[in-house]
Amino acid sequence: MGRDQHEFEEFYAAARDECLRVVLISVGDRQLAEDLVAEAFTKAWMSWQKVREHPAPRGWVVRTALNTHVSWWRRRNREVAFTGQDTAEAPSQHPSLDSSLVAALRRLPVHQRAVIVLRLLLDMDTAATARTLGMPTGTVASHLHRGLVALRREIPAFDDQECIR
Amino acid sequence: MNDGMQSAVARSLTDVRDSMTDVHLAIPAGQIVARARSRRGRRNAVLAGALGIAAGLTALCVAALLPGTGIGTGTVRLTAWTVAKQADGNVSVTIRELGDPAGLQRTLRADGVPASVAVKGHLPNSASDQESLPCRGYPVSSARLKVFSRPSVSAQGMASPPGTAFVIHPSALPSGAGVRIVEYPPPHPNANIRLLVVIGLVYASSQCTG
Repeated sequence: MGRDQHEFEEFYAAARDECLRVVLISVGDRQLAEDLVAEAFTKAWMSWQKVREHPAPRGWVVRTALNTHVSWWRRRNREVAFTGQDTAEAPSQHPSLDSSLVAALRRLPVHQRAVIVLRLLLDMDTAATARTLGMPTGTVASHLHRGLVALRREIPAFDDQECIR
Repeated sequence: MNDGMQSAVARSLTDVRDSMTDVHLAIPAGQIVARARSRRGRRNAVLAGALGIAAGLTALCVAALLPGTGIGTGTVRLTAWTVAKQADGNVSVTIRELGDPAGLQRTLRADGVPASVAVKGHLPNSASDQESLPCRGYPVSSARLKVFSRPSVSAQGMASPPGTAFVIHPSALPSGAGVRIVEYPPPHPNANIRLLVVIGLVYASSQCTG
């Protein structure tokens, strides 16, 4: 095994579960999330020379998974997909995904959701988020603010604090 | 206010994430690496198939067509797929494995279906991937639902053979529209499927649907 592959496998072992959980929160379906994250890691290995130099490789993987989801979804809007297996499986849900906050996150516009996921769930700073998403830092701040305004309604305790003030 | 709001939302979301201690990605790293290697190889294989290997299978396809009641009728069955034109003009298609897209495309066109068939190495992941397809998507409409259906046992007189099966209703095609069929390998090695077939409507053109 070469040094690059060893390095990639270490990264994969350390990051795969967190990336899966973050993507699962964003898309809501376990099987889909696994497909997207596996696809994103495959691309990460195919572009490892670039990804290893990225300031936030986990952010790169999550962003790639979410972009792939958008692409599949757009395609699904005008085409029908049949699989080689006729039996349909029920979506795999996790009990934590039932919260109104998670549902509200999924209703956010694509860019707002991506910014919220990278900034808050992966704890990336504004500059790294901007580089990962290919947008100016001001745009990241704007998407973050709008996303937060939409999500705060789903946290009653926070609204209570605001009323007390 | 923004900082407090951000902290509250962040705390709530990370609580959700941290509660998922039972969620693990079980795919071994070796499978991810092998998948990338196979994808690189498949790109070459698909190209080779389109240019060379498919030619032999296409010959089989044509040979099976000619002895029937005429070109465009009867059943063509290969290892990879089966096409059967029914008495009512509808065309049933079963795809069992990736292979011979050129032969499938030619057979469908001979059966009166303006069609484009391709095998892709992976699912599209960017707008540029989709643009690279030689066809332009037809606007979403209820027409799509009338053009494609799943086969019924009674209509075929037999159970569907293993594979991905659907029926094309050429009479339901809107004017100027054709059919696009794109076959993909499973999205990842652990996916419990053999292949993914995406079908849709496209604008008919000589470059796209013949």
